[in-house]
Amino acid sequence: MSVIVMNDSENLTIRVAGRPATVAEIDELGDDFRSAIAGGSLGVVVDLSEVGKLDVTFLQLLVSLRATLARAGRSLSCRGLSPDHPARRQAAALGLSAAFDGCEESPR
Amino acid sequence: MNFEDNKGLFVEEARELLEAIEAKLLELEDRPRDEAIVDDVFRSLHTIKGSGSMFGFDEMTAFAHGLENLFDDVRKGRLGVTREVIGLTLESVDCLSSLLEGRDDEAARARGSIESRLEAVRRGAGANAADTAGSAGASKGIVPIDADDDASEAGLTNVYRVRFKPDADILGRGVKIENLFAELAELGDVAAVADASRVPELDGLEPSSLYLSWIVDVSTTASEADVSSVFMFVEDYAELRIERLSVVDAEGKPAVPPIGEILAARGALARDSIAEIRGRQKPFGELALESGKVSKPELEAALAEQRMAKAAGRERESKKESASIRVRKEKLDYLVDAVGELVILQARLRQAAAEAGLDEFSGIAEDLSRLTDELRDATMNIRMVPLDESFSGFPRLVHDLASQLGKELNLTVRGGSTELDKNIIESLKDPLVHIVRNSADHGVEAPDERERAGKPRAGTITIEARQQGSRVEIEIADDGAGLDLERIRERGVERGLIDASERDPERIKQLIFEPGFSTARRTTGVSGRGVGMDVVMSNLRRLRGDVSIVSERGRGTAITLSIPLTLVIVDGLLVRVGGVHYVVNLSQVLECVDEPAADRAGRAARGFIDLRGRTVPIVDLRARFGLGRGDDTADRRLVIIDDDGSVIALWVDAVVGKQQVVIKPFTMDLRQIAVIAGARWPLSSTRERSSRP
Repeated sequence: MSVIVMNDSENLTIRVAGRPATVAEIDELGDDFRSAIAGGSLGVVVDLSEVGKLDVTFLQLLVSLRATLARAGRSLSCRGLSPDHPARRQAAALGLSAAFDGCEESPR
Repeated sequence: MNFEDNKGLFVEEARELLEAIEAKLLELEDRPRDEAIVDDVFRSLHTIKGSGSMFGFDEMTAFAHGLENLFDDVRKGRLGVTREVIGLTLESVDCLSSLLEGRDDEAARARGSIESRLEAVRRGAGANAADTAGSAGASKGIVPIDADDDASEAGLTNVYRVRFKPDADILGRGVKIENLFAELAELGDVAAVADASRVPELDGLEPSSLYLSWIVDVSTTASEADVSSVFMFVEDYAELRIERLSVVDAEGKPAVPPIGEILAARGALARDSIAEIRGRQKPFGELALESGKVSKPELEAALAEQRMAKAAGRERESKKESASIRVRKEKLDYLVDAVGELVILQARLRQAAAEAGLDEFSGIAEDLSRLTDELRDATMNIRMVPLDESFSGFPRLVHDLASQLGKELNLTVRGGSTELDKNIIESLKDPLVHIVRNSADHGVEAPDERERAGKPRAGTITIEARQQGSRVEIEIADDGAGLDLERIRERGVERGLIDASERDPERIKQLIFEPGFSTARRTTGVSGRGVGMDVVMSNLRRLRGDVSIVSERGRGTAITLSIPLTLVIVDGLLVRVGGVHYVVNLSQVLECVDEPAADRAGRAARGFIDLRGRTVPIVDLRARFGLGRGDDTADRRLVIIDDDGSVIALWVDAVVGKQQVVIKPFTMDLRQIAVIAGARWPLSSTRERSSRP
């Protein structure tokens, strides 16, 4: 699992790629998320286009990220979240569509 | 409990399910139209598939899936129950068992062939169904299950609400939440809402912990027990509540609760907000959303529930409640061990109280003693399981033996509800298998031979269990040719086991328990190598059991195993010999007789006593245990015991009294001592031994 962080003038983009986003990798991914958003004041885009297999811990991490950003008055949006994206299907099955509530598709 | 513990539980559960499937298949062979059996098999396969995937048995899951499809076809009337289907499924059960036990090579060899035949059977059924619609399969000997009233489709829909709050560390135990939800989804329509309110912000988040909980509504024709079984392996690590939602009103008409009531019941909306929102004359859900009091996902889930309630119709299926829990054997063994220690402590306390002569102390000791007895009995009772568990594999064994040997065999099992200590039951399995194989191979004759002898072509093997006092007897009888005592005698003489002049039938019968003894002129795949009956005897001896044989030429043979109910705690009679305490199993004691010193010389010389006209041999325990002659002028006691029908008098210095005894087996090197079963010390300040006469 790798996390690539890109800053442009408006957003900080976190691109998650590589291995599955599951419980085995999630602690490392949590650290990466914390580092990526530290001190910033920008909106955050999570690019999910390269995420394949994921589990409940990844969705929970997104919920936590969104709450963290919201408290700081920052926004979260997603990229690469197609209608049949595994994250959407998994979230629907687990009753976690709220993880993407207000997390609208961000244009590339 | 960690992941490995859970996996172990799954393996145990799957073994039982496979045994149950096997038994059901054999029943199905006799009653091919019995839909309940087909449903049972299907459900068991479904459970193996679902639970297997949770614990990484991926190959097993995939294989079970194919078999589940086959039985789904049977359930839906697309495929009839034929001998081919039964045989193929039995082979598949063996393959699943190999996969479960890690015998992957064995499974791989069987799997390819089975899967292609499964596919062929299913394809053939499809073609057959298309060709012969309306008169399914009659021309090919296929027995169709009536498809016009498929139980699953005729079953009524219920809505179950599952409140599931996993422990934070549940994921570390290997549980995959997604698989649980996928399994639920296989039961019917599922609407889940996760409660994310406990998920902390990133700084406080431990990402591999789980902070979520769920309310899940399941609309299904399955029972509550089926819904509950999805959570079978996680219920120890979660708060779980399953309730069936009422989908009918008091008059039995469909009841669809208003959306506001559903939201309030889910805790998503305060009840006092209902009237306020309702007053606005718009669809309630829309208004509730606009008011910001509920979120869109919460509303969607509530609407889904309302749809389910509408679809559910009238409620007919009753709740099924699980009346038992599964406990690992190691935990139970620990409990028994701890109770054993408690029994010892209680005995010491009672002895100390008696020696101290304090009434109040003695009273407390007596109360504790009563309580300990109750606890002991209750604990031992937990270990008692019905013999059905041990008998369940025999229908399959006899079925397979009949095929291998070209014989016709019936099996009758009686007394399966007789209970026995679980550890003993496990040790009995192999001896019972050996005896049944021998009965099938050597006992029951070939069908033509039986016909010539005026017997039915099919032989019958009967397994019957019954409790006799503190022992259980299991009799394995056949109506075959009986033991050929002359042939056994000849072999015994050839092997130098008996003298050529030996004619005692009891002595000759016992030869079959000699290692390597066989009268078979040829070795079959089933038996004849002379390996087996000696193993039966040695296994039984380890269990403090015995074997007896009754056989009549031309009429059959009955072999009876006699086993103690439990091995752990027994009521004993404490006796003293040469300063050492010994315990005699109280269930064997008939009476105690005073033996004045004056009478001893004559008796010792004779080696027996005359007990009310009966000659009873004396065993001098001092001599037996090498404890010296002792004081010849002191009076002694004779303890009269019944050792499996033989009455014996044990010569002891004194009878101390009744004593509850915890038997701890010796280590391997000490097990060779034939007269001692086990020992436990210190008990008070003396050594105690349990005597095995």
